[in-house]
Amino acid sequence: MLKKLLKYDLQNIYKVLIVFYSLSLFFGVLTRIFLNIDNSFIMSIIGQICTGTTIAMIFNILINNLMRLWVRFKNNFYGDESYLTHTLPINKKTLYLSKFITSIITLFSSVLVIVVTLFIAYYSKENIEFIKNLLLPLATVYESTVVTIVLAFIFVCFLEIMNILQSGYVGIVLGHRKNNNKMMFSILFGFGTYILTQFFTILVVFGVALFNKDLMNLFYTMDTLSISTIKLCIYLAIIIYTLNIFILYFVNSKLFNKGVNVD
Amino acid sequence: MMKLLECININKSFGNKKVLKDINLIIPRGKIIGLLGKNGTGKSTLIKLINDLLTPTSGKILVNGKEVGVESKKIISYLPERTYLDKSMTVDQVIEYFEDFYDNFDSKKARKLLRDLDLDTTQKLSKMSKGMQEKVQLVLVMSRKADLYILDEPLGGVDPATRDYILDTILTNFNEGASVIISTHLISDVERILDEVIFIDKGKIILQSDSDELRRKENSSIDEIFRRMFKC
Amino acid sequence: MMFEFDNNIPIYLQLVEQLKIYIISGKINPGERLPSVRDLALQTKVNPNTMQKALVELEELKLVYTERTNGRFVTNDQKLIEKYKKEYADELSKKYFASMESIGFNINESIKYLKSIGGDK
Repeated sequence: MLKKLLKYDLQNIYKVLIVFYSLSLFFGVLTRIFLNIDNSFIMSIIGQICTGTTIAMIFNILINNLMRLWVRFKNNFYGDESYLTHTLPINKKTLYLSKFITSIITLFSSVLVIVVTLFIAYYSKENIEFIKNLLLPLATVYESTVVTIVLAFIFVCFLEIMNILQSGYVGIVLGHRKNNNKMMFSILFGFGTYILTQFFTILVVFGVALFNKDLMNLFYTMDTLSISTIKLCIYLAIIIYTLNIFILYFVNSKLFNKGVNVD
Repeated sequence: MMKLLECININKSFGNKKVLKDINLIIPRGKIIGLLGKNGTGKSTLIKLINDLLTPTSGKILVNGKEVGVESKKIISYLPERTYLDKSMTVDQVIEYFEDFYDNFDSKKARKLLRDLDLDTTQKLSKMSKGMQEKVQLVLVMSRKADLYILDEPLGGVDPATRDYILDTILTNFNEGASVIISTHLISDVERILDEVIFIDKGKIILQSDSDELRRKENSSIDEIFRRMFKC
Repeated sequence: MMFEFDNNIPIYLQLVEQLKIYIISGKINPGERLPSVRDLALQTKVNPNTMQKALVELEELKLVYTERTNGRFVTNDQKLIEKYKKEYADELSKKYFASMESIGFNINESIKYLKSIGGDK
């Protein structure tokens, strides 16, 4: 059953995202063309416009992806369509799991398309050199390559977006346990959950800092951190965010499994 | 034989408001049963509880002796009061959806019934009138070989011709040996086909009886009896 | 078969009545096989259970009988059919005379009246 649910969930999200993906890539290509024709005034103006549009498209992808996932979650589980969803012979955990997997897949592909768009629009030897030079000192200390650092950065971004998304899900589930003002409570609980996860993150970092003097400086001084400390921070961020995502998943799945009360 | 559906001491409150009070109910197999009551007396709430769309405040609901869940959903075919399909889907897609999720869905039957409606199945639901969407839903629900059909206000606000179409479709298509629960406040329109009636008022079950028995005893139609009992 | 129903009277009794008329009037022949309960119910647009009950009642009146595997048949007993026909005719006539009496006709006048309007035909 999970496979079938995924089929419909993914179809629904990608139906619209595909359009934004194409637009984003299209403007990425345009940007590249116009920025590279010559250095005339007109061309650079058009190039600027294309750059602006490409950036707008990138944000569009992210916002649309998030909004669509939230709206479908709400419609499927609490709106008119909930009458169909909850009467399917499938248990609630599977219903929720399908939404979770759909979220991961679509967000991941969105982040990927964004990276590809940026690559198409701005890839050049100079730019790569620039990034390399910027990150090289970091990379050497990390005993890793520039590529790994870039990937780690993208991965943290992805985890953060996932975290925002899931906080929204928790908000929707909690908000709909109320009798009135479901929408308002959903948003409120969503924000609350997000802040809670951030608080949890800081708490864990602080906990680790108790055993690591360098990290403690993060809390007590304004000094720039040593590169090895930044390294630790990134590791911690990945671990904690991943942890957050799974904790929220289990909390939400449990809450949801207790049953719904739709209008 | 195990009871098809049993409600034991069901209570349901929304906040401080008690919507259902101590509902005890047994639905046998092979009967068409009318759940009759005025608007807002708890009919839909009871039906939503049976379909896992609400959780009871207290009490138990057993379907085939088991609590409401995946197994009960396999054998209950439910028509809600509202349009509940993804309106961005075409009729063909919705048929495929039902085929995917319900083992007992008979798509051939559904297609035949839809043909009788002169319906273009490549059309999106959002392009159809609300009345047509409701007919499509009825066809889908009645095309499942279920043990229990639960139809919530299937006659709400339809013209006489459509009403006949709906009653015919129900009567012609329900699975042999299955039970049908029809909730309605339009009693005179359906009473002819009912084996049993359940009167519900202010969240309580007032009466459950064989319908012909009741007519014989009171010498009048169910509609009459209901009106006498619940004068506004 | 299309029946009109009065919601004030048990539906199965009305079905018994209507089916009886079908039989005594010869619309269904003696010895003829009846459609299945479900088909009869669909034709008359009633609940199959109600139709079943009506047929059981007709069986008790011996107007129909069941052959274990072949289904239900109308009785071959012409005498019995005649008997029910006479009963029904009696009933209708009594109703007629009672109604006429209520507007002041005695039996003889009622018969005379009947003849006078029937005479044209």
